[in-house]
Amino acid sequence: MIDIFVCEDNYKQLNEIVSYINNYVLIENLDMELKLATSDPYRILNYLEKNDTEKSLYFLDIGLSSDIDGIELAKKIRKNDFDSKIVFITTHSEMVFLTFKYQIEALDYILKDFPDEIQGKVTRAIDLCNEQFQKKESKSEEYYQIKTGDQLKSVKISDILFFESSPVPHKVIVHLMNGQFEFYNTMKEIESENEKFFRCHKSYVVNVDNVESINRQTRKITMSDGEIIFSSVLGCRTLVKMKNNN
Amino acid sequence: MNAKIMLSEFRLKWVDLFMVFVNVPIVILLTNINQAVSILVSVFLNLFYLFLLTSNVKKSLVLEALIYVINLTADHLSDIILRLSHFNIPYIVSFIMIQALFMPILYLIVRNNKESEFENLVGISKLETSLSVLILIVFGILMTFTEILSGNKLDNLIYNLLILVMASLILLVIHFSRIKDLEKNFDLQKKELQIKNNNRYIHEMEKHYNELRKFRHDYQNTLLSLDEYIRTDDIQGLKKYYNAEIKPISSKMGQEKYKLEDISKVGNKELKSIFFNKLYSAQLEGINVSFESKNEIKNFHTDTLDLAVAMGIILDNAIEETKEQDHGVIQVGIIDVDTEIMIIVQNSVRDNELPVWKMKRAGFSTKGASRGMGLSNLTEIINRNKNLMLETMKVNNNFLQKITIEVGDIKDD
Repeated sequence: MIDIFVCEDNYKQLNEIVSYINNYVLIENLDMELKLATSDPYRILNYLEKNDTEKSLYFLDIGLSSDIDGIELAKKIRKNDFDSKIVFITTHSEMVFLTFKYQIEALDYILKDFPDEIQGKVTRAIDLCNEQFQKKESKSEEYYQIKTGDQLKSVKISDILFFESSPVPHKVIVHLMNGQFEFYNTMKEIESENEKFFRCHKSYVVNVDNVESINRQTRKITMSDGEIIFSSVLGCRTLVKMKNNN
Repeated sequence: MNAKIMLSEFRLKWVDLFMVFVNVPIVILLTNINQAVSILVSVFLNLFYLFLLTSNVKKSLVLEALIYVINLTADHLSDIILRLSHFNIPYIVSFIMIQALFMPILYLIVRNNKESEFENLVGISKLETSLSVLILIVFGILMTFTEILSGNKLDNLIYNLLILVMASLILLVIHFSRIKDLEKNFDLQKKELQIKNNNRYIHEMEKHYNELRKFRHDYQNTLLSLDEYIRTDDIQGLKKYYNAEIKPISSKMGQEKYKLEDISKVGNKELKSIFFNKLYSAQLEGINVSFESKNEIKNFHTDTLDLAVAMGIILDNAIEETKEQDHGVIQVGIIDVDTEIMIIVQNSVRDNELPVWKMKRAGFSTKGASRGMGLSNLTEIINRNKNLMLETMKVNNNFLQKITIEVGDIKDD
């Protein structure tokens, strides 16, 4: 069961969105329920304090007639309920796309400027939410958690290629299938955090699963995305053994 | 050896082998035959070697002149010391010892210059090149003649050394005054550019302000006519009026002209200027740009000049990539939370399968090496500032560069 919450301070729009949600849930016979539709953000926060929610979907207006806005509300909800899906209802002029995406990791946003598209966007968000929760249940993917400043990032272990030490002390660069970023940690600590991580060189910890090939003469390791890193003599030998055992 | 230090190039290259195995034996062989010829040949061989190393004619000429002067000084000094002290060490040993003494001094000087990072900007002028060539020729002739005509007499040696030192000093003074001059010019140019940029910003703001004034005027008129429709209960007319007049205005509000207004929330001149100018020029190129910042940000908790340079590099890359797309998009956003400030630049990329590490690698680009240089500068800036962190990602045909500024640490102390 997925709980749905709506917070919108314009009653007309609130009712409109609520009716779209109820209709869609009813017609498609989805395992979802509208728990709370309100114009007061604190009612949602109060509800969350008193009740446990397992899976939830929030539709939040950005400009609320309260001392907090939709983004603040979303931040508070996230603290309480890490896996929740959040959809923002906004106007073009209030739109802060990157904030939605990278600070709140919002599922989607609905623009009020195009009244004809609201219904379609609401149903699409419900579908997307369902899909994502189902995907998460079916796959028991292993995640590695990285703390960068304020945020906790979950990275799939299978996406991690290797960690590289930065010239700046205690800073490590993690190389992923689709990018790279820096965070604070030590190579020693990282190696001990997962059995698939192996320190093959003073400045590299590789994810053994993503090692494509090892050249023992040149001591070069080719990763599954084609990037080449170096290994120590001993590291090379151990790595070959580890690969053979797999 | 000295040449290498000057270039701050410490890695061994195959051209060094050429130096050791071709130049040195030839010069030693020739020394036994005729000193003047050997010096001449060694100068040319060194020049060739330097050219291989730097692939820059001017640079190798200047460097060769410097090396030649240093060698001469060392040669004279060792000669004089030997004669005065009557030590019985071979000439070559003392020569190498003095050379070795010069090396650390040279290294220190070069390193200081490197730190100012000014040399790179200025480059080597024609004047300097021709001066170096002149020095090479004049001293070459002077040395050969004095050596050939009057032999290696002590007096001659001391006079020559004096001339050498004097000439070097004069050249040094000229050089430093020129650098100072250039630095002044450079500062002036930078200030001029800043003023020009600010003017552009003010001009743009004025344009917006005028539009706003017009809008307010229209808005008042609209309200008046609405009032009229409602007073006369003309609902049909109201509907018609709404669809014809009000709806178009509301859709016009979202147009890109207003998408950069959040830049006013950036409370730092350098950054404001770089964001505005880069994004404004991108907009002129037909790229769909946007800038967002929810809060006003006054303190960036880091060296904002460095940050501005870093943002310049990131934005230049984003513009370069998107201007060749039909519907290029660049989105820039600043997100500040309690412990950090994130600056995000996201741009659309053409559909390609290139992994991020290849895109980041220095020199990778069809547009020449300058782009790769930018990225390595970016890495340098990130590493130089302790509380900066860089993230580079490719998600669904979007390229994302994010600089995170940690503010927690600094707030504490």
